[in-house]
Amino acid sequence: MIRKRQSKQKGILFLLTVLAIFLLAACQKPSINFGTTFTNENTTNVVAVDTFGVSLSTVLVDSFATAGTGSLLIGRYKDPYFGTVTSKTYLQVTPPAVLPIISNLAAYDSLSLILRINKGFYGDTTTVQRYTVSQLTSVIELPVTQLTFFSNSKIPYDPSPLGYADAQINPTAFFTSQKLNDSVKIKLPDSMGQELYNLLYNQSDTVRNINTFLGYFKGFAIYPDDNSMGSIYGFKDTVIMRLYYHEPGLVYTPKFIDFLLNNKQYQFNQITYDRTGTPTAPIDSLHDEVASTLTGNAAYIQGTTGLEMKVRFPTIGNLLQYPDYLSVLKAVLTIKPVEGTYSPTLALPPTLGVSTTDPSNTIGPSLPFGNGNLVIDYVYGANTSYTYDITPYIKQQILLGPQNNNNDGLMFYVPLPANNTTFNRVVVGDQFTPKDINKINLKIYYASFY
Amino acid sequence: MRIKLTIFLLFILFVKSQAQTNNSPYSIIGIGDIEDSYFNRTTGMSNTGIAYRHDRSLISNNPASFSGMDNQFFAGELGIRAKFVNYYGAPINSSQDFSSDIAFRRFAAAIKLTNHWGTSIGLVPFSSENYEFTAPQPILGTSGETAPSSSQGYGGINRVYWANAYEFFRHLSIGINSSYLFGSISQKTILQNANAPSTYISSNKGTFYNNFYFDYGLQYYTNISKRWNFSLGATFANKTGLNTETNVIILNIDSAQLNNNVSKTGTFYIPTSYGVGISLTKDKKYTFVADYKHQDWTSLHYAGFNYALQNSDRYSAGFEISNKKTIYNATYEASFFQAGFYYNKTYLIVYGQPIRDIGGTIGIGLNAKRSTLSTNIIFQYGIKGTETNNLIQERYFNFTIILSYRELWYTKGRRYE
Repeated sequence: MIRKRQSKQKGILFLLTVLAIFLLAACQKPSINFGTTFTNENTTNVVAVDTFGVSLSTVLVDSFATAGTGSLLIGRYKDPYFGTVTSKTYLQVTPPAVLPIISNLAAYDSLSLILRINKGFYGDTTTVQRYTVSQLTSVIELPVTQLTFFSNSKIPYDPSPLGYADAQINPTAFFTSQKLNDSVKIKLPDSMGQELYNLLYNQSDTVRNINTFLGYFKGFAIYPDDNSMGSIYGFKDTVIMRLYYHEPGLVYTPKFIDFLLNNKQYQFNQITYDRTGTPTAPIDSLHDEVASTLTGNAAYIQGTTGLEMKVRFPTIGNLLQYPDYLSVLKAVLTIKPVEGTYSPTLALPPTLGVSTTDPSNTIGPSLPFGNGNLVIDYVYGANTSYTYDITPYIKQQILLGPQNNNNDGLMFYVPLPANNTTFNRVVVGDQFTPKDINKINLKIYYASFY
Repeated sequence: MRIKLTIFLLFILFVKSQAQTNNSPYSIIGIGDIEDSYFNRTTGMSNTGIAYRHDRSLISNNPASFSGMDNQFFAGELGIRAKFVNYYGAPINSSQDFSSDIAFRRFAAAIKLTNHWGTSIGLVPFSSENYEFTAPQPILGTSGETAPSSSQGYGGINRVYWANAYEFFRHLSIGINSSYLFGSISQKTILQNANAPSTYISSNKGTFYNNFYFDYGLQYYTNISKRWNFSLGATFANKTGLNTETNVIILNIDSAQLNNNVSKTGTFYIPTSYGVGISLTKDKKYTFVADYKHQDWTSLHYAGFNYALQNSDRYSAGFEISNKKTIYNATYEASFFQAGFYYNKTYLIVYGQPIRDIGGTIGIGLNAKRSTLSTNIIFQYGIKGTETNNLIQERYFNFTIILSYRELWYTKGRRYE
């Protein structure tokens, strides 16, 4: 009897052990990367083709808003590709809100305009440039049709200047040759200074009512003189017109009254350019594309002078004719700045924005293509490039067909806020440029099956 | 008894619910890993048994063995295997180096139709393919650029067979195994650009295999002396072409088909193979067996980028102790103990390295006293592959259960033998 139970228990125990062992085999399947040996027997292959045509052209766009950018751009520089670029700035000043009381024993000393650099520059900073100040002959006000001031706006000013200063500016070291730290100081005529002093002394309405003051003292245009050539510098918009006077007495007390910038939105920069004799000279018609073959096998992008690059892919539709074509997996556009066209002084834009465009050459919705991943090859200069993964765009364009491929395209430009305060520009090589390293390139990876 | 039955049924249900999931990296070649095991009584002796004959067990190693079964009995066998694998080698990520699975492997039944004629039918796996990996795929038209791709494959070929053995002159048995091989293997590869999910492409290749397959066996057996039995066995199979039909369907992320339906037919050849074995028994208690099996893959010239299929040679030997008990003047086997080892130079050469499979087995069998149920448990440990040349070595542990059942079945011939 006992034996029977024992054997029964043994049997159950046995089965339970068996069950336990089998439960341990809980069906796990790890992923083991062991495939490269055999993966050349793939059903589908990935093929890369980089012989598709890329049409480049440059488009001149409208002037753009330059008011209230916080930066005064003054100077002139010469660029072998983009021509000579000049920048002038227009602004208004206002007397202080609270007028100081000037005693009758005090006397006027001098009047100066003080500009402070903001480290921005573009061009050759080793030369001495002359900064000239003129009085405006009209009050700064917006034309009826405009909401702001643009790079081609201007206000008439008195051609005989009020004053000037010659200075060589070193923006990175933050000092000027006037040895006034970061300031450039332009002395203004004493006749004007004395007049202002009298107004302040009398606390006349002119200096107490801002509109009256602006009607009397319309504002300044600050610009480089005609012979100056070097660089365009950026100055902070905390510009000061300082009137010095002194109070005599037991102690000689020098004092000053500051006239500050009146309205940030009424401070703007006028940017003009002269492209004669440069490869960009043919680009002079607003909104029209100029093919890269007409401008030295290159396209040109500069924000502040209104140049943008249009890229089209007229032949990508051919991909559909490939017998083994299945689908686009990846499309990479590599933009090459032409070797020798950029330098530390004529620097490249750190990012280039991208949008879709159509025959009107206006900027459409910007697409999430990233900022271009600019890689600068400091060693050989040959591998400097901007790269974009434009896979969704290419996939869509292939489906739209060759008609559309000829019209639609991508527009490349210097993005805000850089495009109205810096002069960084890039010369982009097209597919016909002589050196291979400078050629723009579209590489399409597609899945192939045959 | 009821408890036993319940546990047993639960266990069967559990096994049925599991899928075959072990990752076998080498199975991507050809028709996958060709199944080495017979899931029968010889499994405890490292599947050695070309010359082995048994009165109760279905020795499917050699079709000629079925004539050695007891008359008047119908026997059925069920095989289940749980496999645990540890992977070693340079491509192995330490967090993903183990896999396990469990599945039914064999159904078989046999009956003695006359005194000298045994017949058996069964279903066993012939080969299995199971892999999953991600690997960089070279991009054509570039120098060295690669695209990430992930691949997986599963499937296998099964064999349903009908074996017949006839005994001549009490010393010779000849058997024929008529099988039908059938199965399908699916392989899927996914290509995708990580920056643009919509570029997903999956290519799905499904291959169907089928054909008849015949192998032949011969056994010669005699008593050398009163205590010693000796037998010799041989098996042979001719080169057979499996008809293949391959379909490729390529889908994008919206499951739209990108290619035209292509259906290719072809042939995959199973090579000529043969085996020889000997068996020596003393006192009907101690048995020693040894086998040699050979498959002629080299002449088929299957080769790929970095692999080739070559002739395979398998050497194995085993030992068995059978405990007999006597009750009421009848002798029956109460339990048995087995051990064996094997050395298999498999049909793979990868990166110039021949892949070898070496291991050993231990088996315990228990025959129930009151019923005709027999349980055989086998533990197997083996090492397959190598770590040189960045290859993978698998160290596996198999736990196999064979359940066999017999029942009286009256047929022609003498009764109550």
